[in-house]
Amino acid sequence: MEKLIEQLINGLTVGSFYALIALGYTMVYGVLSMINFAHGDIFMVGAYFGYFTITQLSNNGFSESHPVLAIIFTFLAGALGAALTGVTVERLAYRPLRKASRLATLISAIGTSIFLQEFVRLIPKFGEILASLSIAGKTIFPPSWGNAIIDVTKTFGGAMVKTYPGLLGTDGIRLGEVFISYSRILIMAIAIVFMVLLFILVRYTKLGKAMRAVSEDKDTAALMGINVNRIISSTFFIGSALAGIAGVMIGIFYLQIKPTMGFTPGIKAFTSAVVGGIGNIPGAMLGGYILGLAEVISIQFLPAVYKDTVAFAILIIMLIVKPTGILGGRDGKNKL
Amino acid sequence: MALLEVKNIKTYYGNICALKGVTFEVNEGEIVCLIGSNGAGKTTTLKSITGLLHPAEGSILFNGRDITCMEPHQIVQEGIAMVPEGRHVFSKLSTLENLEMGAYSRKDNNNIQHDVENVFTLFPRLKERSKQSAGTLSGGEQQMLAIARALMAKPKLLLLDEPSMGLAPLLLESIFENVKEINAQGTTVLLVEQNTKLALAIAHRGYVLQTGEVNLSGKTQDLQNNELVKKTYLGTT
Ligand SMILES: Nc1ncnc2c1ncn2[C@@H]1O[C@H](COP(=O)(O)OP(=O)(O)OP(=O)(O)O)[C@@H](O)[C@H]1O
Ligand SMILES: [Mg+2]
Repeated sequence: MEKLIEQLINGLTVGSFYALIALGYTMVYGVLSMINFAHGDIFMVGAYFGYFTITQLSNNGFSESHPVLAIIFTFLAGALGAALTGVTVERLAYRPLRKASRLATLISAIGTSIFLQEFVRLIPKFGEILASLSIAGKTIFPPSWGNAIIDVTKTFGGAMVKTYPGLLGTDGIRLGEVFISYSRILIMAIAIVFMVLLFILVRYTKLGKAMRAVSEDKDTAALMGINVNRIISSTFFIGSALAGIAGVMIGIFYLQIKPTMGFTPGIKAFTSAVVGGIGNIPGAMLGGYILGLAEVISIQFLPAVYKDTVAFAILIIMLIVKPTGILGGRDGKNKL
Repeated sequence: MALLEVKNIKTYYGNICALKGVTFEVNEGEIVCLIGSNGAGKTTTLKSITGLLHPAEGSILFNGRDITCMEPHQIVQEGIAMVPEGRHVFSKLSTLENLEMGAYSRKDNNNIQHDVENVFTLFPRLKERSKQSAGTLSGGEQQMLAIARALMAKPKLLLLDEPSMGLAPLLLESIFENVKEINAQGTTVLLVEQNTKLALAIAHRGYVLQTGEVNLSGKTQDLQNNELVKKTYLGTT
């Protein structure tokens, strides 16, 4: 029994990651009817921004003296870094192709995904190149700056696995026989808070209503005086920020991050969005938790190596049985 | 100076030339109708004015300002609102939310509530359905909503693209009464209509569009008595 509850909590923790990432897929699909296959990598970028921030904060002792603030700053950095990356990706890789065929956008998304992974991997190289840039035999940056650039870029990116400092340790609370670590509690709570905030935003604010209007009919939305491009940018900003938060969570929870880390959670979050009904916000949340729970339940019965297979089996079954997803509209035209 | 001056605009869909040089004007306070058969270019003209399409040549002046190259959301702020052909209400949004979207570009948030009440007075049916999602309204109610939504922008010029489409005769007349009332309250109206008889009945002046060109214009009485209009658009001789 205790084991079961612990597994359930485990499922909900993993589900929180998937749900947060799935929201980005679903929001972008809702407004643009496209799958942002670079979304998993935007999540990875968020994890790296978080990593950079937390290592800086622990190097100068700030995270020792102000642990709560340090955690908040880390999440903020992850969210903002991912959000700005998402907005830039939309601007440069998707907007010019808005009127092109779906295939062109899909290829652009896959290209962007590879670009982001390679970019993060190569950041230290860029740093070295930048530091050694020279005009007429003289480096542009003075050596002290050059070293700083190399230092910063080395801390930020690179091919090697990076390890988050253990922020929350392994402590937790014990309810009877059930043990729940603080990191799980934090992750589940943050996920819930942001999902509720997102729900309120989309339902009740002017921005949210404009997002729904754009999702339904861009030309008519423009006739209302809505700047459609700005709403699309906001959608990428919000969806990517949520992915960035999930990225920092993964860092805090699993401690290790690497440039290719976005792939598997990305695909699973995409599956979650499809299971819930892509384009549907509560659906993405539901799908995320379903996938998280299915994964931990499967581990009970199947060897752990099948864990990823289960996710894809769910995707395939869902696409056959109800391609519009659990909460998806019957016409297959899901709107935010 | 006319409120809206459309000067020799040519608009293309890819290689297809839909407007071959359309010129007309709308003065402040008028109801002007644009009539013509299917495919004449009426919708294309309205889309060119609202910025959904950009003419390749020619220019459009509104209030003396050149709006030819502006984007739709900027043109709304200049004071032009459109009721698109086929209503295009936001079906997942409630009636009230649709009206709020109509007021999206307005800065005077405090008066919006008051204007919602105003359009509810004009269309009492909408008030009863304010919480209902727009997709579940009847066709006629959706048309009312589309008009009410455009009014929420407080436009100087209201463009209506075939408001009569798919409406029962009784409702049709009441919608046209509404248009007259809106005009009487100070909004200039450019009306595109297939129902030539009704359009000519409420408009002050009219233009006849044929395959992308204006080939007739004048006061509505003159158009009503014109042999070509009678034969082609009114079905009388
Ligand atoms: N998206 C499009 N792509 C290509 N051609 C188009 C497009 N939309 C309209 N056209 C063409 O442009 C011409 C004018 O169309 P428009 O919609 O302006 O006609 P209309 O006068 O509004 O007709 P109706 O009374 O049927 O609404 C038509 O020949 C039409 O086939
Ligand atoms: Mg038309």
